[in-house]
Amino acid sequence: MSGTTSTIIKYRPVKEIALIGLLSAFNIASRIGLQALPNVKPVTSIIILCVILFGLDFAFKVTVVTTVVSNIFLGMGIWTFFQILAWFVICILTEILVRLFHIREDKPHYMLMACFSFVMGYVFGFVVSLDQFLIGGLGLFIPYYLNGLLFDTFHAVGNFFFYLMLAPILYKIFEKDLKKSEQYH
Amino acid sequence: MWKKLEKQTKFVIVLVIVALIAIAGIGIYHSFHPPITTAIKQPHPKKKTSKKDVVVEKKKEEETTPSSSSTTSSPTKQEETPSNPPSNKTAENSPTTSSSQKDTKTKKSTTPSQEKNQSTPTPQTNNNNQNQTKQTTQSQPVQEEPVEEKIHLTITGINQNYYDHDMTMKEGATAYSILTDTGLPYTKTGFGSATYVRSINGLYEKDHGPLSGWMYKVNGVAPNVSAASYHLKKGDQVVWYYVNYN
Repeated sequence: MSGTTSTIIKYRPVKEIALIGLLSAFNIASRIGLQALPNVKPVTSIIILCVILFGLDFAFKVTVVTTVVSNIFLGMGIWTFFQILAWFVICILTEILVRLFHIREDKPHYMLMACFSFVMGYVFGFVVSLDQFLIGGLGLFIPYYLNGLLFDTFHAVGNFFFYLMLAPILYKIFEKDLKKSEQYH
Repeated sequence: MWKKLEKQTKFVIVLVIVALIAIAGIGIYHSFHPPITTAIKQPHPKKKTSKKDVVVEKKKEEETTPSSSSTTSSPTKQEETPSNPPSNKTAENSPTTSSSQKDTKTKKSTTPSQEKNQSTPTPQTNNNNQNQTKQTTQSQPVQEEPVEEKIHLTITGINQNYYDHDMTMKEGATAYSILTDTGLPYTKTGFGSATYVRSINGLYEKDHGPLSGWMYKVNGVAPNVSAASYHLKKGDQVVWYYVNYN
């Protein structure tokens, strides 16, 4: 095993599809169930954990399924595209962080990743607000984004606590598979 | 690092980067050439709408134009000015307003049949109206009333006025906020610059077809902003009227 190889869990396609379905179902259920709380959703934390555990392409698939299916219930619009884009950006940023600091070789630092998911709340808000930049330029974007900052904060705080909650659970569930995939490398 | 990725993952990353660049490009273009202009038209007191459906409104306007302190070149004004000293121009306006209000009220209560054929407001009634106002101005003593501090609000339903009074100007009053001072029940949706008045005094939008609802005018011009974001000035003439474009 060479030093920089990443140890992500690889499944057979059938099992992968089943797992994507399960994780997306959890995301969709949480998005619909927690509608009352603005932006406090575990979706971003789950996607960050997906990138760490299963790799980038798996997280992309989870993102698309989550957004499209949950927006059937919550409302389709131009924001669907921007939500997908925002979570793609979060996936890519997480992947860059993971590769730069070789996080996968060891268990990622618990509090550091929680803080990272806190920052990702603001990144998500920024990318989703970009639709106003597309429509009306800076004059429309800046007030729109500044008005949304409070709700981005809700999202960020929610991410922080959901990461603290979910990371131990998911690591425990996939502990066996993680060890197995480490042996193959 | 890049070579280890799968082909589809690379494709998605390229797509994300292209999308972000496209958004940035279009956004920068739109910041220099803003497609949405939020300029508010200057209220123009002389302008009158020529829509057939808003005849109730039109009539109202014709009755209230003599009271506006702006330089309207109506014949009554020119007739009046020689008789009165030109210094207390504002003071002479206030009795005109009140008298015209009384006028409309009495007319509405006494002759409801006249209301129904409003589609052609005859010049006869107008002349009568003007004569009466002239008489009253001459008979009544000149009152010292600060007209500039007042806002005149008229709420016109179908063939009847719900409200037609002056009210005192409050700080930061908008065309929407003065509705609360009337005491009439109303419902709205949205808030801030997205406020939309659905009903006033039990008369709802879409009660008379899908293209009916409440609109408002300030000094005879319908602004193209929400009522809650239109800040009133002193002496504005606000009219809420029910339209039916069916």
